[in-house]
Amino acid sequence: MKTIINGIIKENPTFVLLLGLCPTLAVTNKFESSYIMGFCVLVVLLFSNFVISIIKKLIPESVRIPVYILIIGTFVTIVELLLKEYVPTLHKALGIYLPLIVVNCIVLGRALTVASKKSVGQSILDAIGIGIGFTLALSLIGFIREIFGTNTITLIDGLSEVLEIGKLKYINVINLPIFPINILASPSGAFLTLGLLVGIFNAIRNRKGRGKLESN
Amino acid sequence: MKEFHLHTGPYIKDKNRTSKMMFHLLIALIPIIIFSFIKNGVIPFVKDKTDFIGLIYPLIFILISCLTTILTEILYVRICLGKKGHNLKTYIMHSYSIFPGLFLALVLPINTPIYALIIGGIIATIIGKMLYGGFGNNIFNPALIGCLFVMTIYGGVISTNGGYLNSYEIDTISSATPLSNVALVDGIGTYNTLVRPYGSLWDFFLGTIPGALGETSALFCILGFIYLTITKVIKWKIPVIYVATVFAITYMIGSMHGLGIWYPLFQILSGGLMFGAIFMATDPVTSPTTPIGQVLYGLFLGILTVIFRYLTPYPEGVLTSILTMNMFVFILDRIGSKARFNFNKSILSFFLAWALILLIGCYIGNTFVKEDETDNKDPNFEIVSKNVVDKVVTYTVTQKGFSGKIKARIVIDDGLIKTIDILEQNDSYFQKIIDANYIDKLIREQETIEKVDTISGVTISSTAVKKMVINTLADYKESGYAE
Amino acid sequence: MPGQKIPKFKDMSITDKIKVYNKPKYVYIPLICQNDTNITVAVKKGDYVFKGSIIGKRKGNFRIPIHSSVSGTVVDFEEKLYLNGEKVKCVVIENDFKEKIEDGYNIRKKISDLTKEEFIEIIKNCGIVGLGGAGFPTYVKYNTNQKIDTLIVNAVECEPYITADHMIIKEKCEETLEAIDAIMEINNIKEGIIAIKKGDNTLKNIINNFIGTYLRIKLVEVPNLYPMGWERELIRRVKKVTYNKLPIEKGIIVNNVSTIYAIYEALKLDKPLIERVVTFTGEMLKQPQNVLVKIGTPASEVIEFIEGYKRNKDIKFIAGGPMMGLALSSDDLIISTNLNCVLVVKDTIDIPPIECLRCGKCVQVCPAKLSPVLIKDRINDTLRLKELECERCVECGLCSYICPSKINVREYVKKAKAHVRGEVN
Repeated sequence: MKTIINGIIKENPTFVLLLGLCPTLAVTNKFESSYIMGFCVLVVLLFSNFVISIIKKLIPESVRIPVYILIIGTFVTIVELLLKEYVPTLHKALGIYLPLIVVNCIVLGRALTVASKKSVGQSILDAIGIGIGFTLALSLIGFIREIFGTNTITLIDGLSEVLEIGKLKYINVINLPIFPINILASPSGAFLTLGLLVGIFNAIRNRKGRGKLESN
Repeated sequence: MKEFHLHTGPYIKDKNRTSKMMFHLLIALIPIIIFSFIKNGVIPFVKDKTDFIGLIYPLIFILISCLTTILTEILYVRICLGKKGHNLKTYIMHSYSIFPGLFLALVLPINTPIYALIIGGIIATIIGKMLYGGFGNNIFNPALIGCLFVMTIYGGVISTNGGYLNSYEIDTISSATPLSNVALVDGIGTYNTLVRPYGSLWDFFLGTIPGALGETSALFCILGFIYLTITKVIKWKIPVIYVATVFAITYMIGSMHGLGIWYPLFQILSGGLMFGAIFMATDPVTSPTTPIGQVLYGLFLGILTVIFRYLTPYPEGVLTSILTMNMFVFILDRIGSKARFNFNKSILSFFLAWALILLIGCYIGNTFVKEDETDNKDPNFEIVSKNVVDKVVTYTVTQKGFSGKIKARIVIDDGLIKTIDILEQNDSYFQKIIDANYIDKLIREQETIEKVDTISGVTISSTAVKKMVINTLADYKESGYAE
Repeated sequence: MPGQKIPKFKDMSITDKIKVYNKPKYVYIPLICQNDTNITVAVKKGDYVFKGSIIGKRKGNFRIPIHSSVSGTVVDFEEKLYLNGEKVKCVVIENDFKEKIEDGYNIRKKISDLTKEEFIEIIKNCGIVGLGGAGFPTYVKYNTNQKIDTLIVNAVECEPYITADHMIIKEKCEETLEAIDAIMEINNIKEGIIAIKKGDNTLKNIINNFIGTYLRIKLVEVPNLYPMGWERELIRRVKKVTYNKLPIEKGIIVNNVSTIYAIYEALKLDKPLIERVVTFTGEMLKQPQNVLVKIGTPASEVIEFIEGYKRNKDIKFIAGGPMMGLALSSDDLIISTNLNCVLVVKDTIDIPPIECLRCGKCVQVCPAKLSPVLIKDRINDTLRLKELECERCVECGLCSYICPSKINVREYVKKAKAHVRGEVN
């Protein structure tokens, strides 16, 4: 349990480790794409960590990285094919960033530092924690960008085909004259949101850490 | 034997203090505020274009902006830094948080909605100043950061509200500020197109032209500059060199197009250059501390402003150039501190820099040719003769092929190509084109002729043939024979 | 332009004559020369010494002797407060008030007849050191094979409150000029310059009265800025040259005018350096003036002699001038050869410093062309500090003087210098 919390807070890949920023900046202009991407990374992380931690003793040192990439690539392809088959709109929305999960620093980094060194159970828990942390981070960024940037929010759109529920779209959520802030819908807005969130997250984390020290 | 207190350091100190310097700065800004009040509040009121609220609106604008920055800073310090009570009071007194707000109000257009102004003030204080560590530690000019955000986020809203023009100017001067006007005139402009719509150069100097609240009046800015230099408050080298550089380069550009001295004067009196150079670029915290660093700063600011004004469509030249150079201040300081010891070498670099400036002026002057609507005529295509009978046009055209010109006769009837006959060609592999029935393919697929593939092995020749047909068709359409 | 006009406060200590205080009960001769305490002691407890006998000699390269300023018995060795704030070992001599000299002064009629070797020998044996504040052994400056073209006599006295040099010229102008002429003659120096501040008309008139007879000495006025009396700045202003390490590279020697007078007494009478003029001044003294005191006199006695303090609390006691001096915790200070002023002023509460404004004024005024604000920023980064060449600092204090945020910038530069030196060692 502690490992999972670790992945969400202390070692949150987006806000603390600052890994995998490419999909973070690219797919977060819509809320739905962001949580789907997070979910895909979670799945890939889970399976690749599982497999790598099982066969870690069999892989020679010199070909470690190519073998890991092979394993990760397999799972990414599986996920991609599944998405393409069942939810083609989402597949198109994520575009090129879905195959790019292969070289996402989070997946490869966790494979190198955790899966190749720790036990199977630990690796799985770590994957779940990091995956959940990534999903939460991405969802937060996507939520903020979409709501403040375009004054609308779409909770479930492409997924409605699979889940057999209607689309959940809300328009004109915030009607104050100060919104929409169009810059958030563009890439520069992605950088801005990410930067501010990283700052706020770390400021709160440091405060809490200091508080804990003082209370001891 | 007596016992005394121990102190270090010089036991006499100069009488000036930071608070006095800031007070002088405030005094220097007062004529500008009064002038903008008269220009944007009193004159429209007198001419019956606005009501009482509109009369005092400029002052309200400035007041709201100042209050926003002060309150934001107090709140930030209270909540995030945890200073309370007496600690808070001493901090706020030495933090001079009124200045980002004041400058922000003087730089934004008057038609900025109030909520945008407040957001700009909050962003200017928090992102521009507090996140770097408060007063004295910021890298970027906070007022310019706020202005940048407001113009980017709410630029559309501002222009629909009227942009920089106040309620009196909207009726009399229909176009925008003088610099936006530059983009609308043909070529490099003349005195009549650039200056005359706003009056004469004297209007530019006095400040009765459209623009932001504080930016228009060069006269009061210069008065403020003289006052501040006498009281030794600002770094006077920066504005002098900045304006001189812009003057020199625009003079070069103007003289390359045969324009007189009014042209560089027009350039330095518009676009808020005077205000930006005297008050924004000399912000003590964000500008270099070494004298040579300051000279270089002014130099590069001038070069960047000219580049932004001429070679990019971006409207805010002064703002962007100051923010860009703010990033390089630490390098300029390093150069400045080392160059002090070896002054002769630095003089050589200074002359090199001025040579660079004049070269840039020549380059921009030469390449700045505004062509309106250049039709992308293919230079390799030539119409030898045209024979028009009703809607049937017989073209004899040439197109440059691989090793010579390909001559053909093309007949177009009612918008559709009927026949293409190759009369002359010099390309060795042309037979391949004929063997592949390329000409027929072109006629058949003429609706989507752009998508027709070229033939491998004779790529250049087949491309030439295709282009020839496309160009002929374009000419037919442009000449309107099909109507 | 480096240099800054600062308030002078000189009028309060200019009187008609220099007072003389030559009756201290005990003198405490400090065994230190130029911050070097490596002195061989030539006497022991109980010895009788004459006025002017050698009681110590410096070890090392500059073997300059230290003399007793009174005749009497060596009582003890004590540690007394020196002008740098530390305690220094001193020879305590009990004054027998007889002013006995061992061999008597032999008066030379014509001092310009000496050879260069004799000249150097005399000023070395008389222990002449720079009286402007640095305390550098004067004979070393002249002990060179390089051609000396110019002798500059520094009578600028740029630091506020101090008027010791002014009074020396006022009272002993003829003797000083005679000494300058003799030095020039002995060392084959072509040009002699006396440098004074612009606007000091009394001094100008006094010197112009006598300078007519000396055709090779001329009077040059320099702007009334601080620190115009700094050697490098003075040479740059008067002769328009810059040098690397020592002025002798360009054939120039600079001497303080009080040192010249001491050289006069040494050449004329073989009298060693046993007394000097010290300015006792400040708003908190009842009668600020210049006093001729013996080396080793406690400052508290002299202050009592000139009627003492205006009040006893909330005052600052400063050894040296207001810019380069140091406030001490007690007035038990010993007059040494490099002390030119004792300053007693009101103790004002220092305005607390605020955040640096980065206005660049400290960079503008620094006479050594340093950038103090940048040194303050990189106080911990020795690589950058070496780049910023903080060893050039002369600790003149102008940066702290002019800072509008009241930051004590000079302390940062001093710390930086210590860092760099610590690294080197």
